[in-house]
Amino acid sequence: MALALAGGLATAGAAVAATSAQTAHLRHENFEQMGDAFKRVNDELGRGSPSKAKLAADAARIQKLSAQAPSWFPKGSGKEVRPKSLTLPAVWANPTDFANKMKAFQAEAAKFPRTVTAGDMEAIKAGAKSLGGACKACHADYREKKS
Amino acid sequence: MSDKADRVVAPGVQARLWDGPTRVVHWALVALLAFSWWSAEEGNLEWHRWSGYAVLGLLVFRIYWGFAGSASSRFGSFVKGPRATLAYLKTIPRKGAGDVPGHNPAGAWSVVAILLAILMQVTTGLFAVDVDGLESGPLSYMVDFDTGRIFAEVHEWSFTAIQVLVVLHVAAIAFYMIYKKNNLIGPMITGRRRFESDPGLTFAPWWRLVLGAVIAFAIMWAISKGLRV
Repeated sequence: MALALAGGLATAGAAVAATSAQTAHLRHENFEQMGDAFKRVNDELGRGSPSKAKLAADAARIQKLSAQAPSWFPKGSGKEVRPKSLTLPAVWANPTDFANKMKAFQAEAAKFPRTVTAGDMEAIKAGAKSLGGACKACHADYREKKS
Repeated sequence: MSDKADRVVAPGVQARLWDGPTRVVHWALVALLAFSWWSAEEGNLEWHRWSGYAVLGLLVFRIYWGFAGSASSRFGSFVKGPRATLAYLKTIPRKGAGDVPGHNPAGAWSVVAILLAILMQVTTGLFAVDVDGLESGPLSYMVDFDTGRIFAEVHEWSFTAIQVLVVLHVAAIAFYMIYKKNNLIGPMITGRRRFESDPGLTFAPWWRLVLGAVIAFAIMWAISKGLRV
């Protein structure tokens, strides 16, 4: 009986671990989506006459992802469950600072689609730059260095 | 004269070996590879890109010079087949300055390997995308994010290959210097070396240098602008 209980607990424990590993993997995929959207914005801005429709679509993607981003970091979804994860333990050690940087990023991500709609190309380029800066601000402290 | 090592072999004559463009390209590549490494580690991708464009221009020029340059810089004059390479390798334990004017058959393969590794490095860099999708090479707009990430990955591997080749290169030079008492660095700086008799090498006229510089600069400029009109 005790053995069965221990077995049951072990199974339950394994299930929990699998779930946080999945969360960590999902976080990775979401950030890849973000990287993909950001690359498209930068590619479009590099063209002679960027398409505002394309910029708007990717700006909206980034904003949508940014709105969900705080939920991608439940406790226990770091390296311990996904060794490949680049998320640093600092995320859970400095929750206030992390939350503030996340909010700053969300604010930039919310502003950017409006800048695109307004349509001034120089302002859009500046907006993309400060949005990228908000990404980097968080990555500097909370993500393992990766080229 | 100060060059005691060569005097042991023969009094000989001092003669031109490497032309100016070959030496400038060599030392500029040394400096730019170091700078590229440093700027990447610092995360200054703006400088890293400029450094890469300069490496690209030098590489295009060096390949052109390998066909149109002075005799000692031409691939056709120093790249030899396996038989000649093996024959040379057997003479390696022999001390003193070699009688080959320029790259020996083993050194020639090292030149080819280093140029290919740098070509790989520059090409993958052109298409690479960083993990955030924020920084990228000038041609990366032609590929999607995932492909750009693969290029970035290969960009790291080829840098490891360059590091290995550079270590081998420096080790070989140290071996020639210490064991064979043969200074290879001096000629790469001054362009001159002591020979038993003047090898009578021919050197490319200045207009070939101008033509090559124009071609290299044009290609570098077009690629740095992403080949976009």
